[in-house]
Amino acid sequence: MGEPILSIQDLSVHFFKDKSVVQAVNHLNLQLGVGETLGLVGETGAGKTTTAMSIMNLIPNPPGKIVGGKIMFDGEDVLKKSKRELRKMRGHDISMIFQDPMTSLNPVLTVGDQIAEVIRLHSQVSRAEASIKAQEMLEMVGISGERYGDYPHQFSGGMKQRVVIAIALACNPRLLIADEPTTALDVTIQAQVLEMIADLKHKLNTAMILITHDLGVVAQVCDKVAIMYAGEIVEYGDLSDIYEHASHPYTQGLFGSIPDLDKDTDRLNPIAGLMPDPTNLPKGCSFSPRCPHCTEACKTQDPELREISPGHTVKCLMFQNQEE
Amino acid sequence: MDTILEVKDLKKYFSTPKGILHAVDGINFTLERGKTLGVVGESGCGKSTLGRVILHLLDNTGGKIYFEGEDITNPTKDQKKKLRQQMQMIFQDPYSSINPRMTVSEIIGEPLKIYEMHKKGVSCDEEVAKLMDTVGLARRLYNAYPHELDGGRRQRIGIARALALNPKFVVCDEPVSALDVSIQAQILNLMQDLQEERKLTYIFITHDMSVVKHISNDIAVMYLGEMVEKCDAKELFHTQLHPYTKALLSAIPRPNIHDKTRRILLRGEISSPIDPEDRCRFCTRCVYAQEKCFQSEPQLEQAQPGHFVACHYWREIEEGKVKAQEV
Amino acid sequence: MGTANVRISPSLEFGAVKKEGMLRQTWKGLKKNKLAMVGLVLIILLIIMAVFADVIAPYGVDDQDLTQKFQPPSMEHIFGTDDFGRDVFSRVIYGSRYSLAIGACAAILSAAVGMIIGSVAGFYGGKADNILMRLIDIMLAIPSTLLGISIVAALGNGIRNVIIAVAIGAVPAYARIVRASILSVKEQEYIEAARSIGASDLRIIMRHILPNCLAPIIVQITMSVAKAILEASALSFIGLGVQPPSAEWGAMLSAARPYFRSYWWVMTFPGLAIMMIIFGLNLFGDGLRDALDPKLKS
Repeated sequence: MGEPILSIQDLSVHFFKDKSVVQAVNHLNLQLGVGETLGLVGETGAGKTTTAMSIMNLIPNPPGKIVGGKIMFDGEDVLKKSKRELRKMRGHDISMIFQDPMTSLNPVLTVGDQIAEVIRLHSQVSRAEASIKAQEMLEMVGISGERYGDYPHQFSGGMKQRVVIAIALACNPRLLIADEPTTALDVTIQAQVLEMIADLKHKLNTAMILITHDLGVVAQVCDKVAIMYAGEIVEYGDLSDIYEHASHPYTQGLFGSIPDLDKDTDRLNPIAGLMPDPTNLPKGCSFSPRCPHCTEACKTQDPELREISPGHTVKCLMFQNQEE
Repeated sequence: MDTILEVKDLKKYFSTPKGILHAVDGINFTLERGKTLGVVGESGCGKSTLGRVILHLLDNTGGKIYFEGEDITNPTKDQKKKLRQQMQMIFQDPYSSINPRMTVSEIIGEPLKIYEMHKKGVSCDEEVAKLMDTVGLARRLYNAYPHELDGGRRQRIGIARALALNPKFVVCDEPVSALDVSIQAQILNLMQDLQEERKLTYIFITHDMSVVKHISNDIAVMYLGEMVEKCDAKELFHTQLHPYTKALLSAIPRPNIHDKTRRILLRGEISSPIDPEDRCRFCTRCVYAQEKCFQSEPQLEQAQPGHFVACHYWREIEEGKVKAQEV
Repeated sequence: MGTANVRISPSLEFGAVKKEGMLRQTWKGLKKNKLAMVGLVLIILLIIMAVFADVIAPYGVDDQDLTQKFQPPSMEHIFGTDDFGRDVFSRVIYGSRYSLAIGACAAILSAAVGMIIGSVAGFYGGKADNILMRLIDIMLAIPSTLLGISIVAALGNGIRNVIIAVAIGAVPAYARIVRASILSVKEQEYIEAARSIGASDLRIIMRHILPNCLAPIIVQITMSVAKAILEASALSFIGLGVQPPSAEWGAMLSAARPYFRSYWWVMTFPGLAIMMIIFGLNLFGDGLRDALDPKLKS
C-alpha cells in the first residue's frame, strides 16, 4: 500500500447530552492508501457519518467531542490544525458529498457559479479562468457546459447529484468522502452516477471513502470494505475477504438479511434484536446480545482486532481464541 | 381462481398549473386471494397513487375497481366504511405515519374504537395487547410514545394498526424502504408470517427489486403511470421482455463481486407525466426505440401465458432482429 | 371468551414504559429555563394578588382620606397615596383583578373564535379557506388599537365591551397560526393513516390534527394575554374602556397623568405593575415555545 494518505488511530467521538454520553465512535483504526476506495458499511447509528465528520474535523462541539485518537492526513494531524488550516484543507484536499442533492446546493446561485466559487476559494485564478474550469467540470460529470447558467431547480435529482460531485472534485482533492451519495436516487439513475464515480476515480486517482448501507453499491465501486457496528470496525478487508469469506457474525448477518436476486429463498435470516443504545453499550463485545454464537466470554471480554489472513481483520473472540 | 380484486382501466389524473398529470393511466390487473402483487417502478411512476386510488384514499378519474366481485368504483358512505375494514394500508415512513402525540396502545386501539369492535365481548386493552404480540411488540411498550421507539418498532405499530380490523387485503407502500437491512429482514419475515396466518392479500409497492422478488408472487413494472410488464416474479428475473425492465434489473448493484452482468445504462431520466403524447412513454430513453415507438403507444399484450408486456418490438428484440443502439 | 382468560394488565407488567404525557415533558423542559420560571413566578404572583386582594391589600380599594392625599411612599402607604388619598398599593393589588379578567377572557374568547376559523379554513381548504382568510386579511388591515377604539366607541364603555374589543383584535393572529399549523400537519402520513382506518373528519381534527398544532397555539395564548392586558390598559388610559374611579391599571395611569411631575409615585407603580406582568407573560411564553418544540428535545 505504501504510505497511506489517511490514517485514523484510536479515534473516539462522544456526544454529551443532558446526563448521558452517546459513544458514537469507539477506538476506531483505519488506513487508506492513495487512490484507494474504501466502503464504510453499517446501519443507522453505527457511527459512519460521525467518522467522516471527524476526518473533516467538523464534529459540532458542543454536544460532540473527539475524546481521543489521531487522524493523520498526509502526515499531519487533522485534529491539531488551526481553523485557518482546516478551512484550506476542506474542499481543497478533502471534499465531501452528502446524501441529499436537493439541499446541498444553493438555490439562488447558478450551478456554474457554485462550482467556480469553490475553485476561486482554493486557487489563485481569475474569474474568467474559474468559469472555464467550472464548465470543464460540468462536462466531466456528463452535463453540457451550456447549462452553466442554470439554477439548481432546473435540474433533476440525478443531475443535481452530478453537480454536487463536480463541486466536490473541482479542486482535485486527494480524498473524497461520499456519504450515501446515491441513496436518494432511483436505481437507473444510481447506476449512471455510480458508473461516473468509478470512472472519475480512475481518471483522477482520488482516494475515496464511500459511506453506505448498500452492500451492492460497495461491490461495484470499492476496493476495501470496513464493516461498522456500534462505533467500531468489526471487520475489514478487501472485497473478496468480505464478500466471500465474511467472518464476523454481524457481517454474515448483514448478508443473510438481503434478499438474493440470483437465488430463491423462502425466508430471510435477519439478525435478531436491535442496535444497542449508544448511551449504554453492552459490556464485552457490543454485538454479543444479538450474536448467534455468543458465549459467556463474549459478555465480559471486549475482543481485539485480529488479522485472520493478510489484510483481513476481524473483531471477534472466536478468532482471537483460536490463535491462543 | 378466487379473485379478490380486479382493476380495469383505472385512471387517476391530477390537474396542475402545467397541464393534466397522468399519475395512473389505464391500469388493468386481477389479484388472487392470498397472493402478493409487487408493484415496482421509479419515483414518480404512479405506484403509490395506484395503491391510494384502490383504497379510495384518492378519488379515481376513470375505470373500474371490483372487490370480491362487487363494484366499488364509487362507493356509498356505508360501503366505504365497510371497505375500510377489509382493505388496509401500511405506510412507508414509520416516522410520519404515526401520530406523535398518541401512545402505542392508543394508535393500535383507534381503529377498534372507531368500529366499536371491542364491544363484542373482548376488551379493547386485551385486543390491543394481542395485536402487539402478533406483530412482536413487547407489552411493556403499551404506554410508550412513538418518539421513544426506533424505526422497526414504529413500523410494527403501523402493521398492528392495519391488522386491527382484520382486513382481507393490505396495500403496503414501501413498508421497509426506510429501515436498516437487518430490521428490514425482520419486518419482511413478519409480513410473510402474517400473510400465511391470516390469508392476507398484499399489494406490495416498492422500488427495491430484491425485496419485491422475495415477497411477491407476481410483479407489475410501472413506468410513467402505465404498466409496462407483468408476470410471475421468478419468471421476470429470468426473462424480461420490456426494454425498461431489462435496464431496471441490470441497474441493481448486486452484493456479489463476480457479478459481470452488463449494465444497460439508460439515457436521461424519467420524463414528465404531464399531458403525455401518443407514443411509447419510454421511447426517449429506450435503446431499442424505432420510428413506430414515437408514433403510437403500445398496448399491454400477452406475450406468453401469464406474461404481459407493452412494447411494439418485444418479439423482434427477443429474436435479435431489433438491436440496441449504443448510448 | 370466558373468564378463564388470563388477564394481564399490560401496563402493570414489569419494566413497563410509563405513560409520559405532553404536559409532563413540557414541564421538564420548562423547569430548566430560568427566565421562564421567573415569568411563571410573576404570573402566579398576579393570580395570588387577584384572588386574595381582600386579604393582601392594607386598605379598601376606594377608601378615601383627603387629609392623606399625595403622600409619598412610606411605611404606612408603601406606594404612597393619590389625589383622593387612596392607597396606591391597595389599588394596584385590586387592579390585578381587572387585568387578569380582561387578559384571560379576551385570550380565551379570541382563541376559541380564531381556532374555529383557522381549523375550518385549514382543514377544508378551497372556497371556505379563501373566504375566511380574506375576511381575516381585512381585519388585519385595520390597526388593532384603532379597531379596539372603534368597537368600544360603538358598543359603549365597560369591562365587557373592552374584552370583546380586545378579543376581536386578536382573532386574526389565532386564525392564521392555526391554519398554518393545520396545513403542515395535514400533509403528514398519519392523517392519511387515520383516514384509511375510517376516522371521521371531526375525529381527525380533534384527535390527530389539533393535538399536533397545540404548541404554537399555547404559546400564542400566553402572548396574547399580555397583549390583551396592554391593550385594555391603553383603552382605559385614553378614556375608553374601564372608567375611573375603577382601579384598573390603565385608568389609574390616566387619572394620575396631571400630577406626574409633582407626585411621581401615583403614576409609576401602576405602570410598573403593567410592565412586570407583560414581562412575565412574555418570558413564560418564550420558554413554553422552546419547551414545546419537539426539535429542541433530545
